[in-house]
Parts: sequence; structure tokens; C-alpha cells
Amino acid sequence: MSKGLSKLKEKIEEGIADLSSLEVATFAGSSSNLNLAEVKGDATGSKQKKVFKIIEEGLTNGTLVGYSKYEVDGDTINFMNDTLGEDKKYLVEGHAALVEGAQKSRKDFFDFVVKVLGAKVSN
Amino acid sequence: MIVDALDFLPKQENQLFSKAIEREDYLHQIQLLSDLKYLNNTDFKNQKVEPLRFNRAIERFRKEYKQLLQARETGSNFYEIYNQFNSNSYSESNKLTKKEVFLLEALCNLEGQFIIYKIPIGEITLVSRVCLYRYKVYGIAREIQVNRLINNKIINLLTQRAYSIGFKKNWIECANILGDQLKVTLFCKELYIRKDSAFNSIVFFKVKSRDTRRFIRSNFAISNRKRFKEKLDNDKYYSQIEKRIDEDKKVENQAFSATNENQFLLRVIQVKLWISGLYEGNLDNDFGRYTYHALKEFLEFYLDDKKRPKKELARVLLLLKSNYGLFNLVYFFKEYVDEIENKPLQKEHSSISNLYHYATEANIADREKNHNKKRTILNTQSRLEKQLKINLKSYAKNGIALKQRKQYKGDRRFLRFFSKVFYLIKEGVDIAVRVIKKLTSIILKSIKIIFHEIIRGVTAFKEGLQFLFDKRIIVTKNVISDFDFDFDGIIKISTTATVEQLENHSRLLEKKTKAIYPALNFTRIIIEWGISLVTGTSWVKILIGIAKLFKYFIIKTLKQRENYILIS
Repeated sequence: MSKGLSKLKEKIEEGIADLSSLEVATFAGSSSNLNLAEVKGDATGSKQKKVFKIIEEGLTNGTLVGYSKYEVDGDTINFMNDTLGEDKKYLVEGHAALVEGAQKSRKDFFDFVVKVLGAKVSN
Repeated sequence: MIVDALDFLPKQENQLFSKAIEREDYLHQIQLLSDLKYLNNTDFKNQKVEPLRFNRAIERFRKEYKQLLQARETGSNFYEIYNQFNSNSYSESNKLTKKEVFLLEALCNLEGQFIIYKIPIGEITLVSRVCLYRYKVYGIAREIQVNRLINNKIINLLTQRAYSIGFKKNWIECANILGDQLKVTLFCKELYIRKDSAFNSIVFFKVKSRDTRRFIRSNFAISNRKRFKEKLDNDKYYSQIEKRIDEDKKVENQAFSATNENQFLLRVIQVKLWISGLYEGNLDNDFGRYTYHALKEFLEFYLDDKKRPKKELARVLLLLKSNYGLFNLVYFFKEYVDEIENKPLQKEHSSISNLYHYATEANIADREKNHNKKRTILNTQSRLEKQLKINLKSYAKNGIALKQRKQYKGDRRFLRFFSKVFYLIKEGVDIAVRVIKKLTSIILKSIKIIFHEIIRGVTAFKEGLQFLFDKRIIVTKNVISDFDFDFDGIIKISTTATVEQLENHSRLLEKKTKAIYPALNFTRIIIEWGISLVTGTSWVKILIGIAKLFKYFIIKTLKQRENYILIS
């Protein structure tokens, strides 16, 4: 197998381990507290995010709007903050919409991985 | 970077093509930026730009196209074009993104993609650049720089020039005609051919140097008056034209040749040959060696087997003793241009690589039962593949560096030009050898197009993987979503964010996500090819396949357009 293919295989396998679950957390807060400007144009690279750790840190700076976790065996955690008030209800709806998008993308990615691995990368 | 499509190639080819793609990509960007005068023509000729100036040119272009985006549909259809191309690449200061290259190609092409509605006075905008670029390509306002500020003086001059070639409406409408080949042809037909004068159907040109004359005489048999007259329309003007040919009065020829209309028509012929990828000289109205070569190749490529190119060239061109020549525009348009421009392009005609991919596929021979015929197909295919290898490698080594002449950057016209071969393919196995032979003969002409398609395919693969594995951050006003490789994500929303801003972000996320699907498929197929390479597929087939596939995905995402009908 070529060097490029081996690297690709390694990378995909690394991701597969975490594909079994999906975690999305949404925060609201002031722009400066959430460091909105800091992330701009930057990339986190491929390192895995520890969502819970970020939630812990994030809670001191902002309000948790929603947290969703889906396990491959069907276990689900769906936390929606109902203390935000009527005027901020749209933030919770926004979280739900973004989670839906992430779920769809993950499914496509999973299919891709299955096809590629199912084909021959594992050879 | 995790993996590159070129990693699937053997080491030697990988290195060669990596370097070549980087170089061609850089030169491509320099040409596009210099066409619209963000860089100078000398930058293009030197093929190198000082990094700071290159960055500034990109910055200026970005600033101007962002202004256009804000204006939405008021000044042009730029917003519509912008939304036709999804890309997940991130802006870098020293390089145009794939989307930005696509935008520049759309702006610089002459196939009716970019339409101008309004140009603000007192400013230099992206729209004004495109407008002046078109006037420049056709030699109507040669002295006006493309980055010139639009004021009343310039408007008056452009209006006057448009009028001088017979265009009686406003200067912006003229720019839209110049930017659309179908409209240019129609304009030439309506305004010149058979309207006021007998001679408007014939274009006059002067053979300037003795060398060129000698060259033409020794290589092209175009002094046959009888043959030239064969295809002149036998109408009320025939006797006048015949008299003009037989008398061959130098003063009259000179006067007619110098008219604005005649000069414009000469340029139209040259531009059409340039767009076909055959004319390699400068756009200058001079009928020199390059123009003859291009015309001859045009006829050779496009002719039915029954007609002979040399004879056909003599029906189109006539060289007179007075050092003036005649070009039968009516016949040329009727016999060749109309067919090329009006035939609809089908989905499977999405790229030149598609043709080569077809021609090198093993299943053509498999379908043939006759053993001898099968062997002929395989031999012809093997010759084509060998030629492809040699020419791709040679182009990768030398590229356009030797020429330093601007190439036409739109590629749909190339497809129209090659469509004849696409139609032949449909005729079945018997025709296969003819098609493969034809491709072998035009390989030199088409190699730069194939190479360009390969670059786009390889870049798309790279960017697809980059988006999958590296960057997945989407930033809009007051909202940031930051997704991992496996779609775990953190979303940060400012409490000042409005419902509209949140909806915008959600829409953008959806759009970006949708853009992953073709990238995923594209990536998967290339990986599969990469794997099959290990088991013996040639690197040429891999490269051609990547290019073909990429064009297929791109075409699928492009909206249907009037002049580009995709028939499913």
C-alpha cells in the first residue's frame, strides 16, 4: 500500500473510534466572554475535542443553551435550557437545528468510511 | 496534509506532477489577476510576482468582489455566479482560493456567463474591469487600461467605439455582446453580412511581411480564385465581389481593409480561434503564421473525412497578388461556427478528460468480437496512452513557460469544439478506432486543457480531504460553530445575536455540509482508483480519471444555463 493510503487509513481509523457517538454543546454569552474573535480564521486541526471539558470551562463564561449526545446503541441525552426566557427561546431552537445538521453530516461521513474501508483500504 | 491524490502515482511522476501543478496553479492565478489588471502584463510575461504585490492584488480583488456581493443583483449577475460554486477552502493571503479562481474564470470567459447591468461612474470596480477587458480583447479600445476609472470621458469614448463597429445601443450592452460568443456571431451576421455592402461578407486582410507571404505560399494553397469563388453566395452581390477579386486593386483593398468593421471582424475570427484553443499568437488583427496554422488545424479537426483541409482552406481564404487576402466569413460561420456554437452540450460531454477516459478504457476492445479488430483497437489505444504519457510528462516539465502567451481561460467553448468527437463516440464500436486516432492526432492541442482539468481534480481532492479532516469552523456574525472530524461540536452564540443571524448561520452550515457530499463521493472513488493502481492501473488513467470525475461533479452542481444545456 502506498504511503499516502496508509496515512489515510490511519486517519480514518482514528476517527472511527469516536464515530459511535455525537456530542454537540451550544453556549450563549457576550462576544468577549465566548472569545468569538479568537477562533476566527483559525482551525483546531484534527485533535479531538473533549466536549465535557469545554462545557465545564465554558460555563464560567457563558450560558449552556443545549447539550445533546447520541450513542450508537440508541442512548440519548438531550439537555435544553428552559431557564433562558421566552425571548431567548430561539437559541434553543437554533441548537436543535445545528445538531440535526451535524447528525446528517456524521451519517454521510460514516457511510463514506464504511464504503472506503469496506472496499479495500483495510487490505 | 493527510493525503494527496498524487500520492497514488509512482514516486517519479508524483514529484514531477506535484511541482508542475504548483507552478501551473501559480501561473494560472497570475494570468487571471493580470487579465483584470490587478497585476501588470509584465508580471505575466515574467511569470513571477514579488509576494507582497501578489498579496496586494489578491486583497484588492477580494475587496472588489465583496463589494459586488453586498450590492447583490443590482449591478450584475455576480451574486448568482458566486452561489453556483460551493467550496470549503479557507482564504489565505498569498493565494486565491479555488472559489476565487472559479470566479475569475467566470468573469474572464467570453461565453455569456457574467452579465453586466450597471457600472458606477467615478469608481474602479470589478464590473468595470470586466467591461474594459472585453473591449480590449476585441481591440475596440486598446488604449484604455482595464483598471481605468470609469468617467464620462471614458463612457463617451466607449460609446463612440461601439458605434464605429456598428453597435448602435449603449456601451454596456456592447460589452455584454462581446462577452458572449453566440451574441458576437449573431451581431456579426445581423449587422454585417448582406446588409449594406457586398463586401461585408468578405473580410480583407493585409499580409504584412514578405516572409509571411513566402511562408503562406509554401505551406498553404490559398491562391486559387476558382476554388474561393465556389463558396461565395450566388446572389445580387456576387458579380461585385467577383469583379473585386479579379481586378485586385491595391488602393481599394487597403481602404476596405482599414475600416473599423473589417478590423473588428478580423479580430472576431482570431478570438474564435483563440477560444478554440488553437490560436497561440497575440490577439492583434494581423493574419500571420499563427492564424493560418490555427485555421488549418481548425479545419483539419472539424472536417468530415470526405473534405480535404487544404482544399477547404482555399474555399475560406484567398491570397491576392496585391498582398491582400480575403476571408469568406459567411461560409466560415455557416459551415463551421454555427454548428459548433449551437449544438447543445450533453452531460457526458463535461470534460475533455472524459473523451480520453473513454478512449483508453479497456471495455471498448472487450465489446468487439472480431479478433483482428480487437487487436487493432488495443494497439491504437496503447499508442494513444503512450502519447498521453509523453505529452503529459513533457507539459509537466515545460508547461506554458515556453510560450508566455495568454491562454483562453473558459473551457466550455473547448467542449463545444470537441463535441464533434463526443458525437462520434455515440456511433458505436466501429467508430472507436477513428476516435482514438483523432485524439492521438490532437493530443498536443488538448494537453493543456487536460492538464488544467487534472489540476482542478487534484486540488478538489486535496480540499475535500482538508475539509473532512482538518478545518470545520464556520464563522458568521455573532455565531461560531466548531465541529470536529467526527462532527462533535461546540457552538458559541453571542447573546446579542438575532434570530436572523442564527438562521443565516444554520443555512451556511447546511450549505457547507451539503458541499461535503460530492466531495465524499469524489474522494471515495479516487481512493478506490488509488488502490487499483497498486494492482496495475496506469498513472495516466488515474490522472485522466480524476480530471473527468471532478468535472462531472462540478457540472452536476452548476445550475442549468441557457447556453449550456445539460441533457440528462
